[in-house]
Parts: sequence; structure tokens; C-alpha cells
Amino acid sequence: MLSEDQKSFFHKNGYLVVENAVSETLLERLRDEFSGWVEDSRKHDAPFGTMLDGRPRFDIEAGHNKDHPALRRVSSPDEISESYYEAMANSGVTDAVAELIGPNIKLHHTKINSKLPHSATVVKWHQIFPLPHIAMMT
Amino acid sequence: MENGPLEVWSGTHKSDIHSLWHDGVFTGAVDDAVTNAALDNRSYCTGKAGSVCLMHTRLLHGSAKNNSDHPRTLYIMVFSATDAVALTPSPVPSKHQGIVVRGHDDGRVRSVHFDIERPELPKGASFFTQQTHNEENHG
Repeated sequence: MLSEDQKSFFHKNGYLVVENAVSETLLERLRDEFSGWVEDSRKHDAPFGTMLDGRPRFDIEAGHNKDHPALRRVSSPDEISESYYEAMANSGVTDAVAELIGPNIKLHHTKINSKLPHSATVVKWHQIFPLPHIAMMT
Repeated sequence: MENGPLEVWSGTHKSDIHSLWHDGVFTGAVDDAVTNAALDNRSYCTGKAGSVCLMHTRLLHGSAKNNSDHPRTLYIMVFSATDAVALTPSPVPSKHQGIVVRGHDDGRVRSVHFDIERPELPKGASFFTQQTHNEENHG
């Protein structure tokens, strides 16, 4: 699905934006699911849910309340949502990744980052590689 | 640009791995000098809904606050080649970690040399707590 120019751009610059990687139908399902989680978050005043290691699956930022929900992170949505699993395992994203670093690729993890309107979260500059887990022997 | 889109410093996936430790604290962020250089060299990654930004794990990136009236939500999926092996436990564990989504696993490990500080696993709900905790403790 990627042109030679797109692949060259990625290897030269380290990133590439590709439009229509997820279909309209799947996009709508992803949005609906996330909206449901935002609604759920209104009932909580602290991070909630549970990941495999016991830490909270849903993270909220300071200032979150039922009237102004600020759900900023859902960890491993692939585990709890068929839509998010499908986007990871069987979408244009999966195909594009296989073309860039494949043909053999495996999942490390998934997560949702959200900045709700006028919420405070910024992401300070960093590289993924030296974070826990990501350092790969490759 | 007011919704705080992803910002990247093009080409940095081919340069140094920058420390995320400062004064003995794992901050999850590079130091001020690297940040300022990144801000001077940044490109914005924008696209309509349904677009994907494919990003190398060594690329320097960050993003600002969302000052718009609409949410800015993104789905992050991290993949590797099947012959890459993680050196530390995942801070975002999934029962699907390691499943092969394209091609096959030929049971091999491919290694290249690099030298890197060991990171600190987050104790809170996410990596954001590491970035924010540092701010609270160090102004």
C-alpha cells in the first residue's frame, strides 16, 4: 500500500503520515468505544480498571470530574475491544508497518492517548527507544 | 496546530539516544537543551481522522496542550520485527504481546550493538505520571 517514495521518506526522516489507513466504518467503531470509556470515567475520581500487572488501565489527569472528564490514557485497549484489536491486527496500519519493518512483525503493546479539550496534558520531548520495554535487541 | 498535534524532529532516529535520567530521576523526557533544539527543528504531524503516523522508535517527538474545543485522541500501536527481543518488561502489558500479525516467527534473534541506560518502570497508571511527577518535584 506504500509507494517507494513513502518508504524512502520514512527511512530518511523516521516518520511517515499515511491517510485512510483505517476505514470510515472501523474509525466510527473506535470512536464509539472511546466515547463509552469517557462516559464511564465520569463515575471515577481516580485512575481505574486493571491491567494484567494490576496497575489501572484507565488514567485520568488532574482536574478530572464528572462534568469535565479528562481520560488521558487507556492501556492495552486491544485486550478489551474487538475494534481496537482489529485496527492493530488487521488494518491498513498493520499492512503499512509490515511494508516498512517486515515482512515478519509482532505486537509489543497498544494504548490510547487523549487530550480532551483544554486539558492540561503535554507530552515532553523524548524517544521511545530508551523507555522501559522498548529497548529492543534488533 | 491548536489541538496539540504530534511534533517530531525529522531524522533524529539516526542520531544519538538521549538520556531520560536527570539528577538521578527517571523523567521520561530529554533535557532542556535537547528540547529547545527540538522545538527549533520540529515538524507537525497532522492528518484527517483515519490517518496514521508511522514513527521510528528512536525519533525525538513530543506534543503541546490541546487548546482547541475538540478532543485530540490517538491510538498508539507498537510493533517490532519478530526477531527483535525486548530487554525489559512491558509497562503496558497485554495478553496479545508477541502475537505475530504479519509474516511468521522464524525463531531467530538479530542483534546490533548499542549502549543504553536502564529505564525505570512506571509505578502509576502511565508514563504521564513519570513526566508529571518530575515536574512536581523539580519545578
